[in-house]
Amino acid sequence: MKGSEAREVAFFGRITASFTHEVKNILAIIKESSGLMEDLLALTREQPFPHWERFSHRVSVIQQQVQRGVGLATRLNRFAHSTDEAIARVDLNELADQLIWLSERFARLKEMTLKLTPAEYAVPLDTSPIDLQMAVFTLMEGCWNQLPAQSEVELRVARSEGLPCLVIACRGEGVAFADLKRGLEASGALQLSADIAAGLHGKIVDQPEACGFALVFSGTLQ
Amino acid sequence: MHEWKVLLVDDEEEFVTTLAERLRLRGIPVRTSTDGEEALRMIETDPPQVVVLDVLMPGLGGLEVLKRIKADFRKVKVILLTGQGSTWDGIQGMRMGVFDYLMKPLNINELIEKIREAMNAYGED
Repeated sequence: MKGSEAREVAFFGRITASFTHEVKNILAIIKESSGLMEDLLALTREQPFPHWERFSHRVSVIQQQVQRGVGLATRLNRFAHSTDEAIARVDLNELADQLIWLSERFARLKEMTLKLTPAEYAVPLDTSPIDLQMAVFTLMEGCWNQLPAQSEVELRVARSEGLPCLVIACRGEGVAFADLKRGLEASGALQLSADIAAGLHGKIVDQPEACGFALVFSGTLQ
Repeated sequence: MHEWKVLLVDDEEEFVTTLAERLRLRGIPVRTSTDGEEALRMIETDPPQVVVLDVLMPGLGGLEVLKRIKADFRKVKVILLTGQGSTWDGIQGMRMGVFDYLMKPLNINELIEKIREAMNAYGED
């Protein structure tokens, strides 16, 4: 990334991180307010109150939606903070978890299911967190754009011959690796992801048996 | 067991007053402050056993308030509230001697449990 681009990304990240922090403050107030409503409702349980059940249900809906908002705001806050340092140590398990959260809406609009399979061990990598997320997201998005509705895209964290790697595996009715790869090449997603990965000492390796691709990183950034 | 004295410090007034009301409903006496300087004055006048302290506040921030509490009121237990997506503030606070830290938004039962643990630790000092 050029110096001016890195500054712009860092600025964007800083502003977004600050706003997501504020959003969490708002959600905290809504959560405590609905919690207080729940407490007060509990105190009136034995008294005649014709709409008790409906109020109680609505309070629980508010709380569920607050939880959902907190999950999204937390991930967006972490994503924004990934621009804090040009190069940082990341654990691919945490990064993959965050990417799955951030991709959920995109995938849902395409009627895709996303699946995360973390490694049972930490997979650290010194890299550019923002570029790495861009490389993986580009490849995942390229895949779900080629797949029929109701397919599944799995993001798997692993090591390949000792090297940190992220495998994207696709499953769906009538999905064939050759068609998937052709589609990704035609859309330019495969090349774009490969170009970003190359800047991170990474490369894309075909995984026909998984009907997908692996991003393998042979070195760390200094 | 000591009489519970808990101080909640957060610049978000709606948050701190609502949380205080919920704690009082559960029988926990709580005082509140929305300002770091004011909180320190309150601690000096009538020291609580436990301070629940937000990290990010305008003026005197939570970590600075924590530093002064640790310097002048060593027995007071501090539970730090962090709203960040990462746990960096919490880890920083642990290095500075906080009793524990919690992420906002809170789970009220988890907060009460932490306050209880801090009260017990206060009694043991």
